[in-house]
Amino acid sequence: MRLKEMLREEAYQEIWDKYCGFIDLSLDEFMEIQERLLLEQIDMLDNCALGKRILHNQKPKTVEEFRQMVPLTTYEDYADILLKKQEDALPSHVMYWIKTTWKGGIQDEKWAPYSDSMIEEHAKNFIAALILSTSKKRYDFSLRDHDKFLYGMAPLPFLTGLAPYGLKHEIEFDYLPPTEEAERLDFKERNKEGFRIALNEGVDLFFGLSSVLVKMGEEFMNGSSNTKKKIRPKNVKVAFRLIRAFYKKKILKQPLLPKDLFHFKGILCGGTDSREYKDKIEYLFGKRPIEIFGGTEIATVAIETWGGNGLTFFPDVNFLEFIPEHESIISLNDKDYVPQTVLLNELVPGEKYEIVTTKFRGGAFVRYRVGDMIQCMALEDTEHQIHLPQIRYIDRIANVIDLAGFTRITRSSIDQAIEQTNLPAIDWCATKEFINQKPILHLYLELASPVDNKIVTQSIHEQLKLLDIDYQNMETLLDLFPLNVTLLDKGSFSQFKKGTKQQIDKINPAKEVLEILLNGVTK
Amino acid sequence: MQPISYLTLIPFAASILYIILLIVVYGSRKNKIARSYMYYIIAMIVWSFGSFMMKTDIPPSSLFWNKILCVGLIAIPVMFYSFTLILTDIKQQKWILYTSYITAFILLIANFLGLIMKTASYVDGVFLYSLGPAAAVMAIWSMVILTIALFNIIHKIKKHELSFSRVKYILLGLFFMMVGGLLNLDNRIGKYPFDIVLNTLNAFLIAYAIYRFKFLEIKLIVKKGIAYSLYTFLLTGLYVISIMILQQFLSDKLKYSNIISALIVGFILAIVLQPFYHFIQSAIDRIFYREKIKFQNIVKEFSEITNHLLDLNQIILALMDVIHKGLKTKIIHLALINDNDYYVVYDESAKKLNEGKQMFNAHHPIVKWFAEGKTILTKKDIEQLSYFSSLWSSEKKFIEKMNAELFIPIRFRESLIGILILSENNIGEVYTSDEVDLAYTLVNHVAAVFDNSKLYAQAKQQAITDGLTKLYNHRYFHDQLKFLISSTVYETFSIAILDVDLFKFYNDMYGHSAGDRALVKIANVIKENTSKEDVVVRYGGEEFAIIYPNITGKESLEAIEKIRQAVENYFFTTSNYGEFITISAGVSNYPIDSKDGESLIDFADKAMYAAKQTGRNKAILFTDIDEMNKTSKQSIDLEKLQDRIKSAYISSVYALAATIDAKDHYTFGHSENVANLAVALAKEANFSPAQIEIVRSAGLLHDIGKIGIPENILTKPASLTKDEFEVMKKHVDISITIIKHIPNLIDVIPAIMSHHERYDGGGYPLGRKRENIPIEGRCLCIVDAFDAMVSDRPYRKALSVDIAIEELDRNKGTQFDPNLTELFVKMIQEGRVPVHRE
Repeated sequence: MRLKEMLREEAYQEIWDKYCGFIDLSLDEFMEIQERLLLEQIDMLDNCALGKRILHNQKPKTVEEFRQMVPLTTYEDYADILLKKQEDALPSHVMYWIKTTWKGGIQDEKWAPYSDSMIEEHAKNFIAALILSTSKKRYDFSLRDHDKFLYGMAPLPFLTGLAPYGLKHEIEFDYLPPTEEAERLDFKERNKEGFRIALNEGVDLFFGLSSVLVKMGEEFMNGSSNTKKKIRPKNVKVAFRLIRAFYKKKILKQPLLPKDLFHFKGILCGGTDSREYKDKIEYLFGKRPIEIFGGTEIATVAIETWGGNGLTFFPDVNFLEFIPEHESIISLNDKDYVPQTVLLNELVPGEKYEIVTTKFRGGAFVRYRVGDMIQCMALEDTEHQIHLPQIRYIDRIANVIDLAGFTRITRSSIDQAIEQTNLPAIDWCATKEFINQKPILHLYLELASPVDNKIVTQSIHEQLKLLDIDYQNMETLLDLFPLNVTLLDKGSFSQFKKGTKQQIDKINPAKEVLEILLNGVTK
Repeated sequence: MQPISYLTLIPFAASILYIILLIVVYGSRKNKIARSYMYYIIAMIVWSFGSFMMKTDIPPSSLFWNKILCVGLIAIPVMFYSFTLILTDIKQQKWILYTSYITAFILLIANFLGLIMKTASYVDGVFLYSLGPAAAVMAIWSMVILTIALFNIIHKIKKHELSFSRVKYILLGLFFMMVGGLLNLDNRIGKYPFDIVLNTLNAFLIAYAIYRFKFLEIKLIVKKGIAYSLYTFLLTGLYVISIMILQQFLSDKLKYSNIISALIVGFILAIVLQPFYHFIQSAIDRIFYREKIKFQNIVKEFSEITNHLLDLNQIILALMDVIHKGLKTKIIHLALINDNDYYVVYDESAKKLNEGKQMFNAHHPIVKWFAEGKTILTKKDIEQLSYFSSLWSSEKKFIEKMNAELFIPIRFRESLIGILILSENNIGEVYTSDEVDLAYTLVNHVAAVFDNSKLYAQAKQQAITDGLTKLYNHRYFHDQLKFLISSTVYETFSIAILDVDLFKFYNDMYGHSAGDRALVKIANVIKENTSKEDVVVRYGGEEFAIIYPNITGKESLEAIEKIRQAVENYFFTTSNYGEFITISAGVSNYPIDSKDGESLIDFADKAMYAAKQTGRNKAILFTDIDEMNKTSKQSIDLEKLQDRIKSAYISSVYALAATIDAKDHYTFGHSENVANLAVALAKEANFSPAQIEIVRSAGLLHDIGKIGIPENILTKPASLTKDEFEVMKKHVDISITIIKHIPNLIDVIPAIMSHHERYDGGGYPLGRKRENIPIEGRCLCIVDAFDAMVSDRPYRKALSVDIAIEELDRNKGTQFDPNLTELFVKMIQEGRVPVHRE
């Protein structure tokens, strides 16, 4: 039975069980599902060229054998087949090819295949996320057919565009703006138009980047949003809210917040820095967002529940392995090092891990290092009776700087940008930092001859914008200036190396390293 | 106030019925459809109650109650329309709904302004009324709304989005409601409460549709409540109406009216209506508990049938039959446990268990679910519960292919012995809880019967199975043979008798348990090399028999030859040096050789013996024996040829033996000495001529295996170390490996194999004791030791004959057979045997 039919019959308990029942699994049951689906995936991989290559023509019979026999992989291991979209080499028939950017890769983009059962699973888990976003406790949710859905995400062929297609068989949403129209608009226009319709017709759900939602909210609050002028309420509820808002602003002379006009049932947020934006979103929109964690190669991986104590993994999307942080760092610096992995039932609270996934349901990726770091918050959420490990998304792995889910800055992009500026650069390192809960790239740069910081910052910023359209979007879409440059004294890097006999990690070096570098810095 | 009459009773009764319905729906699980139905019922209550009050002329006035009646009348089409919108899942007609709300509101105002009913009052007991200008508008308006509702339902049926069977009662009810409304347009008919009667029917039809098609689930307690209420209601109604009619009759015709007449009428009615109590009771039971009663009968009949059955297939068929009948299931699948791991499928069309097909293994989530003690599983559960997210796509497809709707575990003594899988029923509806209960009851009943039949089947199987090899036994062979001959199922078939060559030796050498193991291995080889149709049996001892249906003798000879080859290959290539098993077989054919079973067995036997006599390890067709006899010259030539082959082999072997002797010059001529001494002792001990031949050949060949022992060990001029001795011991096994490939020399193997066995069991390779060591081996052991003692060795000089005799005497009963030793010593002492000394 489809979700819309279940909603019509008001079978709310059944709906919860079907979509969100996974949070009631015991850890043993979770692991059993993982094991069984892994064996299915091995079976499928064994029957295709890609699988045979990755499995080295062996067929592991158990999870242990699988982990021993199959090496960890990265996109390079699949690039020749996936970039050419060689369907006949894959474990299952491809329904959609999904795209993402490939910063630092051999091409600008990566492609990932999605089979029909992967899409079905993806839709099911996305519904679970929407239900959870509207829930206050178990079995208590307000998601309904024809809810108005402000869908602030990229359309197909990006993963975020897949959900509406997967969902249409299950439930009908009134997308703001309608899907066909949204696909014709660019990202900025789409969001603006969505908010404009939302003001007139009301809105129930939001899914998008946390940073975008904050930006829209702030614009609204500062009165810079041009949408306010065109408000024509389409129903009584909206009209009432408008009158109330007018009363608050004009009579009570209180500042108007988006929550005075919007009444979200659920806000679903993605993007690297979602955690940092949650309070702000709650303040602006009156509803605390829940965070969803996923990616093009790994689909929907984990979802936050109403309790806000962490994210819970979906059991049937990927086979999950985790590389402990120290192992991950060693392997980033030593390509020959084979890091050990642990399973979900071996996580240690407080520890950070790089995630390794094997896609179920005929997916292509096997023991795949997607490059995301998570932290295990607790082995269970006793407060909300969820007996599965609770995690939170930390960031990209150490050698990548992800800013607000918009762009991923790598060593090579900074190198290129500095080179293009013709600045007399000697050496540099960069970290991700937060200023006013907004992420920025902090560059520590040593120059051979003195140049004014403002000039340096502006010229590098301009070059990064030229090199990376996503970086540029941060400025155009979010009005963010995401670069901060600290000029170091001449000789800082060489002195550090001489003094400590250590190499400096270019991306995200340790705090202690930065402290040493900064001693005697001329600002 | 007007007296009670059928005109007042009908709307009153309708109100009561509506209230009961409202309570039922209120007490059930509420969803959108139930709620909208409740609003519709409330409108009906307002209408019928207003009608009742109006017709009893209770203050304030009939006109007032008429206006209340009209409130219900206006609300009914709107509420019904709203109900059908939810039923048909139509979302695009919200504007019509809102319009109908607004117009209804306007009509309500018109109603209270007297535009619908101008006057309504009782004049001399006659109800008189006059309609206002809005009355016709209201009637048309109602019809329009109801027509749209009707159109919506028909449209959805046409689009196959709604099944006719689900809404047929609602459509019929709608028809009644529209007819009731139209009848009101005529004053002559309108004064009678036809509309209320028809609308009551409508309400009941909707209620039935809701109940029947699970639009809402009625709780058991409420269901019982309705049953009792309806019973009381009908009975009271019948009683009151009868009293009224009779009383009317008494007062009109007999002009007799007082309390006594009422009592008399009551008394008469109580007697007359007595049979109706039971009739009404059983009629209500039939309505509400019809299925339950039917199911009780089904269970009863089923237990009577299965109590007499022991055959598993018959029991399964009976179960299938009863489920088809009781639940109207389209397709039934049954999976039964097999070897604690796999669940095999019952093939309903073939009417037997399909052992080759596996439905689930022990790790399948459905099996695990039931193994945890859970009861029923529905398709919905599988779709909804996260527990089942571990299902493979292929498993999901399989469940879908089965059209599985309901899974019912079959348990016996806490353990899961099977799973019954039901598809949807013939009308494509979900099973009611009564139906599920029935299936569960039947399955639980059948579980014990299954177990009995399993035990019976096991006993039946045991009676025709050989305990050791798990092949069929002698009895089954004869039964089958008899059946094949009497039934003439096949025009031709062959039987083969297979006998293991020299099995007695094998048993003697390795013991009976090794012999048993060898028989099991042979049985497995035969099974692997026969088809499912072939009947393979252990005929007895080391004899096997096969019935090859539908093939001639020649073809079966080829099949047997394949088995013979397979047995030879299996045992000759085994890593155990000592294995030397072959088979000889004889084949006869029906009807060429005989049409009589006993004769066929005799002929196959004869052919098998012919194979034994002509060198073993071969298969012969019975008809070929005659050929062989007829062409004796050819057979002589064949024997000569075989002899030539044998002597060529033996020559090579003797040459090999000589090589060994040459390899170790200390033992030069040792084999020949041993052969001569052994023959002398054998003759002294009265061995048969065949045994004498065996000890001669064995004596010549007993050390042939030394070819495989390193020369440094063979000629070491000192005592052997423990490890070296272990290597040396292997020469016995190597000897056997060489000899077992030579046709007709297999007889010597036991003697060679045991010539290093000690009488007390301390020898090698098998450590056999006393008479368990073949006598030829015991004989060789003595003469081999004697010749070794009286010969020079790399590590010592030859001993004298006396010392050697002393040594034999001393070890008599421990190393050597005491009787044979005494005979041998005596022969030596008497000088009857020449002793060769270096």
